[in-house]
Amino acid sequence: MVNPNFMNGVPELLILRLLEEREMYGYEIVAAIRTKTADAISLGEGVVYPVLHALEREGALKSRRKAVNGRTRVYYTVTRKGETRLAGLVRQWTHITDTVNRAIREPSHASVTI
Amino acid sequence: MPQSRFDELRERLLRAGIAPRHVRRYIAELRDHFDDLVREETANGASRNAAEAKARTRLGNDNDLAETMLARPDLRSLMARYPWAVFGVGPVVLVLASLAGALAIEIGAVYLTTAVLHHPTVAEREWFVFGVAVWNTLATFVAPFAIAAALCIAGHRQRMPAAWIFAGIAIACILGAFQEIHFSDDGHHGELSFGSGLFPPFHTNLVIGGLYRTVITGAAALALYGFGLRRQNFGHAAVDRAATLAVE
Repeated sequence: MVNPNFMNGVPELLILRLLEEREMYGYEIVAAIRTKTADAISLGEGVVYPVLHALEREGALKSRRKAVNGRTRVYYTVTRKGETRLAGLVRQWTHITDTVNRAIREPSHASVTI
Repeated sequence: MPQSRFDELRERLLRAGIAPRHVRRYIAELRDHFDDLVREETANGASRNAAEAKARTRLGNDNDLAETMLARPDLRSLMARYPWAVFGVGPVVLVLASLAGALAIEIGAVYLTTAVLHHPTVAEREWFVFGVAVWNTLATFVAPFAIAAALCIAGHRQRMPAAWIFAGIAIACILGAFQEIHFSDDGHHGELSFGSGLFPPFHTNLVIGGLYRTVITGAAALALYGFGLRRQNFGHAAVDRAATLAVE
């Protein structure tokens, strides 16, 4: 069963995908989302933190404080559990987009299971 | 970023039950993010005021910032989710545990002293009885107050309704104060006794002692509550002043 709300889970998916490459702090994550999506997805920048906190609480992320240029930043990185979660989200998202694409190409015959 | 804006957000989140550690970190991260945005906008040629205004817009308004946090029920504290457990069951368990712990340590001390000192002198006996009396005072006076104080501080930090905090203070102070542990030594053998003024036959000494300790520990805990409330109100007044200045 695919999540009916298209945007549900998208911030999680993007954040986990970005953090899979390297550890980042909030501001870097938002900047990376803007760059990777060519500004197609623009979040209110502050709303990324509740997502990070919730993912950390679920065990998908872990954080550490790191001093950079005299300022302490909270860096986030993906855990093993987070990698599993990311794989699940990618599968779910791929299924949604494939289904929607099929529906767009063949609107009269497609069976949408979202 | 004006301090007052994040203070209002902090208060709103705490009152809505978000755990203080999440609120503290969220506010710190937002503040850092805001500074980064201002730096970015300034580097792109904006004036300081324009950079701050743009950073505010990019960061999101208070409603959005609060709503996204509040949409995550798992970020709420246990205290906000189960106040009856923290302020009702919690003090009962903690007081009983502290009494049981005090008794267990006391019994262990009696056995250990007997094993080490086969024929204690009068002075040694007096010192032991004094030590146990101090320990009993800690168990029936200090421990209930410490539990009430901890509930008071934690309740203030989470901006819990006063009724819950008062309930926790009352349970800890009354339940702890009405118990009495006593050790006596007649020179031949020692006797450890435990009595409760909350259960029949309501021995007068136990009840009066309980009332006396309840009044003292309760008054101390309420003073602490009042101090916490004053600090909180002072914080609000500072926020209001800052907001007024910002508007002016």
